[in-house]
This record gives sequence, structure tokens and C-alpha cells, in this order.
Amino acid sequence: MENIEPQIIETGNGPDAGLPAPSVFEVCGNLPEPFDRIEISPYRGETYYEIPPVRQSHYEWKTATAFLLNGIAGGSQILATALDLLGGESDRGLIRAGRYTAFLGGTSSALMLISSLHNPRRWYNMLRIFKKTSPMSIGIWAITPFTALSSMTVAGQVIEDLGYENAGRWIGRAFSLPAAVLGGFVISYMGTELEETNMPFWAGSYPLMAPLYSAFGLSNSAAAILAASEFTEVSQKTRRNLNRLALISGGAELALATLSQSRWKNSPEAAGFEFSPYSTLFRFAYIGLGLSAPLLMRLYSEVAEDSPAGAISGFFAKLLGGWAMQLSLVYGGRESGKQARDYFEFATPRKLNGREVEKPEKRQSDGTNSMLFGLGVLAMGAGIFYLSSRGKEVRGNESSNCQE
Amino acid sequence: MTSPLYPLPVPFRAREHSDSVMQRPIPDESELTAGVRIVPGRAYGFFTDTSLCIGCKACEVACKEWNTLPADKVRLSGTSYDNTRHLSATTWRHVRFIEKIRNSGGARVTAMEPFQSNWLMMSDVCKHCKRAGCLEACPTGALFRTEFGTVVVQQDICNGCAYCVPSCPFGVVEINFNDGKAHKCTLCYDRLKGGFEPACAKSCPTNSIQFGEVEDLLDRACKRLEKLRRSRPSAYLYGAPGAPGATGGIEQLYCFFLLLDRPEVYNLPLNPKLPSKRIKKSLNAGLITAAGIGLAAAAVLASVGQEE
Repeated sequence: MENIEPQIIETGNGPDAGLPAPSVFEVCGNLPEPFDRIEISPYRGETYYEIPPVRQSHYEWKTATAFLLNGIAGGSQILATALDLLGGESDRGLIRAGRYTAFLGGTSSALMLISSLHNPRRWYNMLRIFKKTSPMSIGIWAITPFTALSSMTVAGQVIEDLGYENAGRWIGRAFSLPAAVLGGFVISYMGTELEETNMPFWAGSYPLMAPLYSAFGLSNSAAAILAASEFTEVSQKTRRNLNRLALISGGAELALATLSQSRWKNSPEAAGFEFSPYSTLFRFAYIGLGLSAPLLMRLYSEVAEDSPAGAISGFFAKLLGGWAMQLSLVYGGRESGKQARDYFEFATPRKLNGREVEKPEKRQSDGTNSMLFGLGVLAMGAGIFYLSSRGKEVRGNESSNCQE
Repeated sequence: MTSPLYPLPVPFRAREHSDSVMQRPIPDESELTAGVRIVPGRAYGFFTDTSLCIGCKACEVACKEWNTLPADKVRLSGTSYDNTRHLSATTWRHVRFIEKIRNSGGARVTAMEPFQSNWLMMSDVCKHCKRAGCLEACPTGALFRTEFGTVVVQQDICNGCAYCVPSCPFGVVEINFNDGKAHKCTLCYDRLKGGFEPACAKSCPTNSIQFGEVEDLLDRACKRLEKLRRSRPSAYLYGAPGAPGATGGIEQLYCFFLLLDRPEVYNLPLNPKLPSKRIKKSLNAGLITAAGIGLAAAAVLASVGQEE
């Protein structure tokens, strides 16, 4: 019988089948080998028949919608409290709008989250314990007291509206302060909840996801309060300052969204998201419609020194874009959970034995997303050109009126 | 008569059981079958030696039989003898089949290595991690650590939030959409309480799945590895303390494996991570951003008050 020497053999299912096989583990030292004492060849795309090694998340549109509402509710409570403490007498209408938004947003998001459970009748089991190792537990223990305090704040507001101004204001203020502190957790925990999983796209977004969600919450609530200013009596100055606030928070959100997006583009664990339609949704519906368009409106108002243009349409653009963002992140994460390679890339150490682990070859998309992105950039450029030319026209008319 | 997990009648075969000829169960039966007495307060697990696995799937069947788990949607995968494909809410043991063909540059292979008929087979199961991602993520406390060191879902507490599903680095725990609860291997918690060896390990005909106290199993695994290395230098332990699989804060897998190829070939991650390790930093990053924008907002709004 022919004596066959043991040799390194190749799995037939990797994309590099037919290439010289890498050594598996060069063994040294005692048994079992500590992780830092073994030589590991770079990951070259081996999978088990492309079957995902992790189970994909079951989050759906209800969770995405609840995240959107959470952001607006938490941010509105923070801004309403800031207005209550720092603003003037003419801002009472805006404070009222902020408090009602926080209460309605918090309640509806809690109901939405309960309905997203597979056993909704047992939702209260989440209140049995608090776990600092579970972002969902942290979130539940932020949302529940936040909603309770927000409802008390609204009760204070109702008392104020009934004519008992001093009592109502003090009750509202007493409950809105702790609610605003919890609001900080409510707007940011959602990013942590997504990041701290094993869905490669979400986990690979660390540490940008939580800041993105924070900026999202504050920016959307600023847009909501700016829109509310159209329905209440506020001074032109207040309106301009609110416009400035929406500009600052929207700018921060845009910066974080662009940073995240450029990171996903170059990260192997986000390939499943990048090659899916959800990345296109994120770029156009969120960065384009939900962020850039409202920001251009705010910028135009700021430059033209005009009253805030399109406060209501800007808010709806943000709302739609924000929903698209939540949907694209939730479903994009699920998509990445289906990609075996994405997870293995995520679970490959970047550095081992003091050396950088060789980076895998970048996977190529079919170019559809890039083409659509290019078209979007052109459309936005045209929009900026139109708005800036209109701004010049307005300023030209104003100066000619002054001369007259 | 229906199973609690599957709203279909229990098959005839399951009902056609005959009464036992024994008057009572053998006390501490595991001493006879696995050489270990099961005592609460100690950690138990499996050592799965994949070099001994013959892919008979007796473990899969025994697990389904004991736990009255229904069959999954059976269909041909078209890739190997593995039509189960992955662990699920109703499959708590799963045998993987990896065909190994030597690289011959596209030509037909005429000679093969006389080792395991050129197949790698591995019986996968919940790893019952020392620090378990699913357990740490569960917001209800439905997932708990038993007195035997294993991780089990309490069905009467689980509310189906499904956060444990993406938190498991090995794709083990899954929601059953019939009852809306999370399910996974219990390491036969009920059998352990009665002093029995888990069903899968008891049914394994080659002793590829060995049940025992984790410390004993590690000793056994090291001896086996030392012996096997003479002919298979690529053999290594996956999930032993400090080894691949027990990384990123997971510390140790109570159900660990002896593997012969890189972990990804067996659909296992090389460097799995415990998600909860980064919570503090992530939350801080979010809160600092909120505080930063909040301060900017305060500065802008304060100017409103001053102007008035």
C-alpha cells in the first residue's frame, strides 16, 4: 500500500481553493497553546458553505420606529428643559410643545417596543432586574422612568395652562430636570444596544454608533421645536436662535453620519451592509434628504438673515430621513448577520504576537451604489447652487430696497 | 397531544413506548456511563474530539428524542451530508461535514490521505461559555447560570425580546416563532439533576463527545492532543482557557473542541468577543456627544434669554 505523507490539505469551499494552502497553526510551547503563543495564518475567506456562523437579529420596523421616537422624545425633553431654565417668558409655547413631544414620543416608543416583543404580555419581566451588562436593560431602565417623569412634567404643564402658573411651572420644572438627565440615556443607549452585539456591521461601527444616535436625537428634536415655533407666538430672535441650534446639532449629526459612512466603506465587516440596498437608503434618504437638505435650508436662513425658511418642511424631511436611517441601520445589521465572511472578518484579531495581521483583500461591489451616490452628489450640488443664487437675489433686493 | 414547542401532534413512534422494566432509575447513573458523579456547585461540560467523530448524528437524534424537539424544515442543502445546516431553536446538536480534497490543480484526485476518509466532522452544541454573551445581554434574567455551571433559558420568564440572539458569538440561541421564546441546549439540565449523563454524550458511539467536570475534561483533552499531535500536527484545542475561541472576555468554553483545521472551516470564529465588554465606553461616547451638543444648545438658548 502506498504510504502517503500527511500534508496540509485544502477545504474546497473557500474562494481561494486551488491556491497554496496556508499553515493552520504552527504549534509551540505547552498544551493547550495560549492564544498569544500560536502562529495564525491570515483569514482568506474560508467559510462553512457560506452558512452564517451567527444568528441574525430579529429587529424589524417596529424597533426602528421606536428608536426614531425615542430620539425625538429624549431630545425634546432636554431642549424643553434648557429653554425653561435659560429662555425667556416668550418661550413658554415652545416649552409646552417640547414637553408634549417628549411625553407622546416616550409613550408611543414604549408601546412600540412592547409590541415588538415575541411575548408582549410578559414585557414587565424586563423590570424584574437591572443588568449593567445588558444595553437593553439599561435602555428599559432609562425609558420607563423617563416616560413616567415626562408624564408628570406634562401634568405640571396642564396645571400651568389651567391658570395656576407658579404651581404648574414648579411641578413641571421639578420633574423635567431628572427627565432631561434620563433623556441623555434615552437618546444614546440605542447606539450602544446595536453596537454591543455580534452583528458584524453594528459591532464594527463601535464607537461611532452611540454618538450618532445622540446627535440624531438632539438634531431631530431641535427641528421639531423649530417647526413648533411656526404655530406659537415667539420672537424673531428666538426663531433665529432656534435655527442656529438646528444648524449646530444637524451639522454634528452630518459629520458623524459621514464619518460612519466612510468607515463602513473601508471596513471588511460592513461589506454586507455596503453591498445591500440599505446603504443606498442611508446615503440618499438619510444623508441627502434627512440631513443635507434641512441643513441647507437652515444655512440659507442664516446667510440670508431671513426668518427660518421651511421650518415645517425641514422637520418632515428630517423625520422621513431619520426613519430611513433607522430602517437602514436595523435592516443593514440583519443583512450583515447573514454574511459568514463579514463575521469572520470581525472575529479576526487585528494584531497578534505583536504583529499586524495581514488585511484581507477588499471585496468589490457592482458599482450601482457608487453610481447612485454620484448622481445624488450632483443633485445636491445643483440644489446648493440654486439656493445660494436665490440667497444672493434676496440680499440684492434687500440692498436695493435700502437704497431706495 | 402536542409538543410545547411545536403545535403538531406528537408522532406515533414517540407514543409507542413500553414501560421500563426497571422499578426506579439507577442513582448517579453517570458514574457508570461517564465515570463522573454529578454534584451541584461544580462546572460540567463537553469535550468534543472531532478527530473521533464519524458523523453518525446519533447525538442529534438523542437530543431531539430526549428534549422532544421537532424536526426542522428538512431540505437538501446540496453542499454536504449536512442538511440540518445550523443550530436552531429546535436543533440543539448539529453535526457538520467538511469535505477535504487535496489540492491537485484541477486534476482528478487519485490518492487521498488515509485519515477520516478526507472528511472533517464535528458535532456542534452550545458552548456554555464561562462568561456568556446571551446571559449577559438578557434583560429579563430568563437566561441564568445553573448550579452545574451551564447556561439555561427559563421559559416562564423569557418575553422574546430576542436580544440574546445577536449577542451570542456562536449563533446558538434562537427564537422559536411558535411560542415566541428563546431556546437552546440546556446541557440536559433535567438529566443532570437526576444524576444522568446528557443524552448526546451518552449516545455517542465513538466517545467523540465526552461529558465530565470541566477540569477533568481539560486534562483528558491535553493528553489526547499530545498523542494526536504525532500524526496530526495541526490539531489544537478550541475554547480551552486562553486558546482560540476563549477570547475577547469569554474566558473559557465549558463545551470545548479539539479541531484539525482553522476554526472558520468549522464555522467557528477565531477570536469571538463578548459584546458587554465595551458597553461603558460606548455609553460614555454617546453621553459625551449629547452633553457637547446640549452645552452648545444651552449657550444658544441662554443668548435668547439675555436678549429678552
